[in-house]
Amino acid sequence: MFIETENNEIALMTKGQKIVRNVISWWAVIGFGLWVGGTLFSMLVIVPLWSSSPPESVRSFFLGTNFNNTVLNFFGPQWMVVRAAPLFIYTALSWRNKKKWWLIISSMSMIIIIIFTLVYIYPINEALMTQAGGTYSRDEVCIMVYDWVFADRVRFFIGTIGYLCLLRAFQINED
Amino acid sequence: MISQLVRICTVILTGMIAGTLWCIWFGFNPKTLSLTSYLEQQQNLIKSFNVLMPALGLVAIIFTLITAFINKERKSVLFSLLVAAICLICSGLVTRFGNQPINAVVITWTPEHFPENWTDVRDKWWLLHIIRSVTSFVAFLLVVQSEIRK
Repeated sequence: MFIETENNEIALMTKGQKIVRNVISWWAVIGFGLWVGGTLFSMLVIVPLWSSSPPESVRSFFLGTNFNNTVLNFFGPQWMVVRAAPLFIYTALSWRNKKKWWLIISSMSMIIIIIFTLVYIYPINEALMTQAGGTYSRDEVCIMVYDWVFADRVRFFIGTIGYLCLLRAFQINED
Repeated sequence: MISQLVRICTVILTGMIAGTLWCIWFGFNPKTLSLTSYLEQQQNLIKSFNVLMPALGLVAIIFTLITAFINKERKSVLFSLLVAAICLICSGLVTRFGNQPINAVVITWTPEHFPENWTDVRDKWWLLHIIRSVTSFVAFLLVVQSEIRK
């Protein structure tokens, strides 16, 4: 199997390598697509449940449900790795063909989302979700809720751009 | 260009449906919730999605069928997309004749007025939800696979 590279060179790609690349690309699109759908659900249904009237809604939701455990079954760090790894591998495997730049943008968006989540959103989660507002004042909880909702929307926007770039790369026929 | 746009929309729409349903399946199992928390979560879900999701599903089915028609010369792609459309239709039928009748009942419940067998109703809804999650995920897998095969 031959693929045309960016410099119009012809690179040899074995059938096995092509299968691996296809599986990885498939996995990357599935993983990213599920994240977009799941985040949309979370934004429309779950977030309003605890953000509607803070701090009471925060305390009743996070103390009254098992959310802090069950949410990890979909959005947990392990699934972050499962979603991100195939995208990075797909980008590396496509480094010498014309879909490279779309995948670089997509990978960059994933890296930004991961760093943003770990550095900015997780510390808020600790106070807002794990401690259900804890000993923070009413105003502090309200500010944290506002910051979290805004950050979640920014994250979703960046992720959607990354997903669209991934789909664009996915559509480019490299054979 | 239009063909590419339709194909990309098909992937996005089926992905959104599968992602939403899977997120509920894995992240928001109501079995551990108290009645009050369950009612709050479920009624909010019904208000937000009872119209939106079936509409999204219908559009996804139409786009999948259009993509199948565009690829009518490629038999394997056509077959994958037709099976994907059937899976989406199955999800739609399970929603229409399984989940939505239950939703119509649950939306009327209050923490003070609810039936004794509310956990049976909840569990039946959950089983139907798992079925439609699986069928929509298979549809998404097939749509993405058809893009690889193109």
